[in-house]
Amino acid sequence: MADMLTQISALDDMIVPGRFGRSLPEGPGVALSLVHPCEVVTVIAAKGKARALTAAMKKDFGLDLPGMGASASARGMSLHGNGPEQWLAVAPDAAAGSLAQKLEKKLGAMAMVSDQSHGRTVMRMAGARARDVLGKGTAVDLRPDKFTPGMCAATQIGHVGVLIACTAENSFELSVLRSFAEGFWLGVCELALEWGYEIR
Amino acid sequence: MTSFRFDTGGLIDRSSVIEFSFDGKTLHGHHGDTLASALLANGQLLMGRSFKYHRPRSVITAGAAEPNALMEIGEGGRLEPNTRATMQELYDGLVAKSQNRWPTLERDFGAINSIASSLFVAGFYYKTFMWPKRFWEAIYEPIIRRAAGLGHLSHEDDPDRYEKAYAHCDVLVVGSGPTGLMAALAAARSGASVILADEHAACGGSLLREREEIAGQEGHEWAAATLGELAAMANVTIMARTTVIGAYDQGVFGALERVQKHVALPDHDVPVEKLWRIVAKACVMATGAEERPIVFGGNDRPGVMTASAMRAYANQYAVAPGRSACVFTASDSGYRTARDMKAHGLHVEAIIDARADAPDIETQGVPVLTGAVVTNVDGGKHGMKAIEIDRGRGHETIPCQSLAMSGGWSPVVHLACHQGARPSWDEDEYCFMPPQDNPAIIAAGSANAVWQLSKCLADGAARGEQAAKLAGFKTTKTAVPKGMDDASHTSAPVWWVKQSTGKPFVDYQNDVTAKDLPLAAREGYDHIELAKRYTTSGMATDQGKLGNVNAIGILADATGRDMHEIGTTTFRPFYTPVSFGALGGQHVNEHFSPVRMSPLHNWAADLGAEFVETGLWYRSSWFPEEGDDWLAAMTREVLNTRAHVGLCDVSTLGKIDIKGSDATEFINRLYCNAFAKLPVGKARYGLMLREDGFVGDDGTTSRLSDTHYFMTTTTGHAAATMRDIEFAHQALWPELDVQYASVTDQWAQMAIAGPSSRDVLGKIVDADLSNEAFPFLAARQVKVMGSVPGMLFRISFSGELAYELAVPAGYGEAVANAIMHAGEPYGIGPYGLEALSAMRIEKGFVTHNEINGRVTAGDVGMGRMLSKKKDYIGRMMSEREGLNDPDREQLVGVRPVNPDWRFRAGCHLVNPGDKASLKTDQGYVSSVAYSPMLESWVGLAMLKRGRDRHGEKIVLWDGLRDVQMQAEVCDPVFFDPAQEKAHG
Repeated sequence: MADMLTQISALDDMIVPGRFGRSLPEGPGVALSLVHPCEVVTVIAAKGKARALTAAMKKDFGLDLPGMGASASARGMSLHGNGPEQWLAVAPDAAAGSLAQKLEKKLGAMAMVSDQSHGRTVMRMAGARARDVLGKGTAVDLRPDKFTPGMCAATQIGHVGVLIACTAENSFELSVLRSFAEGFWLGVCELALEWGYEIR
Repeated sequence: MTSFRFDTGGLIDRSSVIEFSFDGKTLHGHHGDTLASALLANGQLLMGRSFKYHRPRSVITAGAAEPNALMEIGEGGRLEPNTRATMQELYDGLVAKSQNRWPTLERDFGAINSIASSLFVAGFYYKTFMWPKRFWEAIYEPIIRRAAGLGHLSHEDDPDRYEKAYAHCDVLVVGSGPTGLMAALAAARSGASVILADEHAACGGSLLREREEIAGQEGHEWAAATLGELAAMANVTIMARTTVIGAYDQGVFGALERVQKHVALPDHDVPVEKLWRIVAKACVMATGAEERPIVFGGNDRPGVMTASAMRAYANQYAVAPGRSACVFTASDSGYRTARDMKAHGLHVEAIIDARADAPDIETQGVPVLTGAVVTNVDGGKHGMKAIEIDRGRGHETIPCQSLAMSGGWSPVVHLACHQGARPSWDEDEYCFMPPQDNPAIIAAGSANAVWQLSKCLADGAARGEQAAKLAGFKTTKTAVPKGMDDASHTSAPVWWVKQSTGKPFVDYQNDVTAKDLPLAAREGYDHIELAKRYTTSGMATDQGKLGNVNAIGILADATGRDMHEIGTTTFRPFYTPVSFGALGGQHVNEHFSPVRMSPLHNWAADLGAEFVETGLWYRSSWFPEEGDDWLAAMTREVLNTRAHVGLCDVSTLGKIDIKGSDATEFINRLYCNAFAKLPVGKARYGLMLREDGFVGDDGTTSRLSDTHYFMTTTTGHAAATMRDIEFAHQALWPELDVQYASVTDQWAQMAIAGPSSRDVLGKIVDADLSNEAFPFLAARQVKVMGSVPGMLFRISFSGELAYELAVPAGYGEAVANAIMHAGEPYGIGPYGLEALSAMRIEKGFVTHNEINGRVTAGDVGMGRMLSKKKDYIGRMMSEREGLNDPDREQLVGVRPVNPDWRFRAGCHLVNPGDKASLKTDQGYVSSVAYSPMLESWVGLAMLKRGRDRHGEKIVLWDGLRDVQMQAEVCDPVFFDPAQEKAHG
C-alpha cells in the first residue's frame, strides 16, 4: 500500500520551472533545482569508534571518511563532514529508506545512524553567479580558490542553518531542515534576482 | 545668482543633457555632474537653510563631509531626506527639494531665529529644562519638537529592495586617489586578492579634481589607465560608489554600495543599496585628507567654500560659485586654488594669507596679503558681494563673488579609530595623525599626512606591498611613476578669527559658533566630549568632519591647554550615514524572520484551518465551519474529540533521536525523574530541571530498543533543549557513549484522540492496539498503511484515549488524509491548537505558561517526581530552602463564580476584601480557557499555598482592564480526575 504513497517534498508546489529575475545577455546567473526524493542520513561515530568507522566506510562504501568541512563521494553516496566525527550522508538515487538501512546494517555499533531523508530538503545551485548569490547570505569565504569542490560548510543564510557543499567548480548542494525549506527557497530566489535564475 | 558653468573643461559629458528639478524648477545638467555641481551650473547657489538660524547656505565641500547642501531626493516611498548633494549623482528625472525652510527656500520664516540668536546659545536646550517648569511644557518643548530634525519622511513604504552581502579579500584598499591606486597595484601584483573601494561614482580621487601630472600624463588620464590595468587583473575587484563605513574586529569592514541611487527608476531585480561585510587580512587606508574651513565672520555665506572644493568644482565639473574669487588661507592649498581659478579665467582678487610669511609660490600677479584675516562676508542668499579683511590697519573691503578658504588638512582617520584607538596631534603637521594600534589597518598617503603627489604615489606603493606581505604574499618593488609636485605645506592654523564682525561658524550643520565653545568651557563643560554635547558641535549628520578640529583648537585656546590635551571625541562607525533600508537588507516583510512550516500545513490549510504564529512555526489553530468564530470552532472541536475522535497536528514538538551504549544513563541524568528502568516499548513523561533547580522543559521519552530512545520536547524549547543536551554531553559528561540528532523535521506527528481513536487507528496501523497489547504509555515502531515505517505512542495530552503517530514527514499529508478517511464513519474531525489547549487546561496539564522559568517541580505538583536515588541536572539547586518554602505559589484551578465570566491569563489573585497591591498579591492566573465540558471559563493559576486552599474564594484582579471578579480555588484537574478515559 505504501508503494502508492508518494513522498511529498516541502517544496512540492514551489518548483515552477522557468526563467526568473533579470535577463542578462550571458543568460541566467544560476540554475536552481530540487533534489527529491533524496536519501539523507546523519552518521555520528560512537565513542572511540572513529577508526573502526573509517575502515568500515572504506571497505563497505569505498569512501575515505572526510574531516569537518570536507566531503567525499563514491558509489552514489556523498559524505559531508558537518561536525566533529559527524557526517551527513546524501544519496539522491537510492531507494526510499534504503540508505539508513544499509548504513545501519554495515556500521552497526560503530555509529549512530539517523534517517533525515524527510527532515532535510536538498537543493542544487549551479552557475557563474552561484558564489555571488550564496555570498549574499553566508559569511563563508566562497572565493573559487578558497571553497573548492570537495569542501562543505555548515553555515546560515537568512538565519536558516544550511549545509553548503561544493560539488563542482560553480556547483553547490544545499540542504536545510524541511520546515525551513519554503522560506529558504523563496529567500534564495530573491537573492538571485540580480543575475537572473532558472528553476529546473 | 553668481555661480556658473565654464564654456569648456571638466570631466563631464557635455553632449548629454540631463533634466532634473530642484524645488519644482526644471534644470539641466550633464553626465558626470553631481547634484551640487549641476545646481551651481544652473546658478542655483542657494541650496538650503541652516538648522537653528535658518541661514541661507550653499555647498562648502565637494564630497562626503558636506554639512549644508542636504536635500530630499526622490518622491513618494523613494523620498530620502538629508542626501548630500555633493554625493548625489545627477540622473534624468531626479527630483530634489531643499530642506528646513518654510514656506520656500527664498522666503524662509524660520530665519527670524537668527534675530533671536542670542537666546539660542550653547546649552539652550538644557537650560530650557531649568525654569520655569510651565515654560518647558507649554512653549519650549512644542517649539523644539517642531524644529528638530532635518527633512521629512514620506511615511510610505519604500518600494525598493536592499541587500546585504559578504566579500573576502587579502587586501582592502579604501580610496582610489593616487595613493590608493598605487597601493592596489602593488598589492595586486603580488598575487593578493584586492578590493579597491571608492565612495564616488568615478574612481581616481584627487586626480579627478586637481590639475596634476603623473608620468607625463594628466592625472585623470593616468588614473583611468591605472584603473584599466587593475580591472583587467583577475584578482582585483573595483567597487565604485562604495563607502567603507566602519572597521570592526577581526578584519571585518562595513561598506555601503549605492547600486542604484543614480537612476530614476531602479530595476526591481537589483537592490538599490548593498551593505557589504568585507573580510580582509589587511587594509590600506588611502582615505585622503579633509580640508578644514577657517572660523571667521560669515564663513557660511553662499559663495564661501573650501579651497579644495572650489578647485574640484572648477577642474572636475567646470563650475564656479562666482566670477571673481578671493582666497583666505593658512596653507598652500589656497595658492593652488588661486592658480587653478585663474587658469579657468576667473578674476582672483587677492590671496589673504593668515601667515606672516608668504611661501615662495608664483601667483601670476595675484596680490598676496600676508598676516591678514577675513573678518566678515558681505552676502546673502543670492551670493557674495565682498569680503571684509583686517591686516592690522582696520577693516578693508574687497569686492568678490566667492571665497576659497583653507585652514589646513585633517587626515581622514576614521577607520583606524573605529575600534577605539584615538588619533594623536602632530605638532609639526598640525593635524591629528591616525593611530597605529591595529597593524592590519595601514594609513597611507595624505591619510597619514603625506602631502605631495610624488610622495603619495611612493607611499601608496610601499603600503600596498606592506599590506600584501601582511596577508602572506611575496612582493617585488613596485615601480613608482613620477608625479609633478608643487609646494604644499601647512603652517600654524588659525582656529578662530577673533576680530570677526560677522557670525563665525565652527559646525555649520548645527549652527555652532566660535563663541559657544568658550561658553561651554566657562560653564564647566571643558572636556571635549562634554563640550561636544553641550554645544552640539560635531553632533550633526556630518559628525564634525569639517568642524571638529577647529572646535578642539578653539577649546584649547579658551582653556589654555594644547591640542593634545584636549584630544578628539570618539570615532564611531558609520563614517557617513547609512539608510535603514540597507541595514534591514533583505530581511523585511515575509523575510523578516524565518518561517517554519509543519509537514501537515497543507493538510490543515485544505481543511480551512486558521494558523497562529508560535515562535517561527505556523500552527493550525482552529478549523472554522461556516460562521464560526474561534470560540465556536474550538468548542465544536473539543466536544467532537471528547465524544468521538479528533486529529491534531503536533509535528512542531521537538524530537530528538538518542542512541548509544550509555544512552540510558545519559537520559537518566537529564531528567529529574527515574528513567533507568524504562522498559523497551514504553514511553514516560519526563521533567527536566535547569541547573538552578527550576523546571526547564518537559516531554515524553520512549525507549525503542536497549540503546535507542526517542525524546520529545515542547515546541517552544526544542532548540534550547537540544543545546542543553549538547552542553551536557560535551562539557559535563564527555565520557558517555551517546549520540543524538534532532529529528524534529524528519517526522510528521499527529495526535489521534477520543473514544474512537483506537478503532480509527486500527484501520491504518498494522498492530494490535488492544489495551492489553498496546496499553497506556506503550511506544513502538509500527508499519503504517502496509509499509510506511512509523512510531506509535499511546500518550494523551487531552485526557482521552489517545495516540500520537509519527510518520516520515513526506508521507504525513497522505497518512493524515487516510486517517481522516478511515475516521469518517466515526465522526472524526480535525482540532487545532485552541482545542488542544482547552483540553489540556481541562486536564490541568502544564505548558510553558506554567513552567515559565520561575516554578519548581513542587510548585506544579510534581515534587514527588524528583528522584532521591540518582543525580541529575538541577538536583542540588532544587534543594535550596527558598525553592521548598511552603509559602510558594502552587498550581491550582480557578473557576469564576459565574461560569459566563471571561477572565484572562495574567490576572492577579487577591484575597476577598484586600485591595490589590504587591503586599496583598496571592499569585496569578497562568492559563485560561473556555471549557466546553464544564461550560465555564476556567483557569490554571499559581497561588500561595494553593494546594491547601481548594474551595476558598479568591478575587481575580485584572489591572489592565480594571476588572475584578469572584472565583473559587479548585483542583487543577477539572475533567475526569480519575484518569479513566485515557487508560480505557
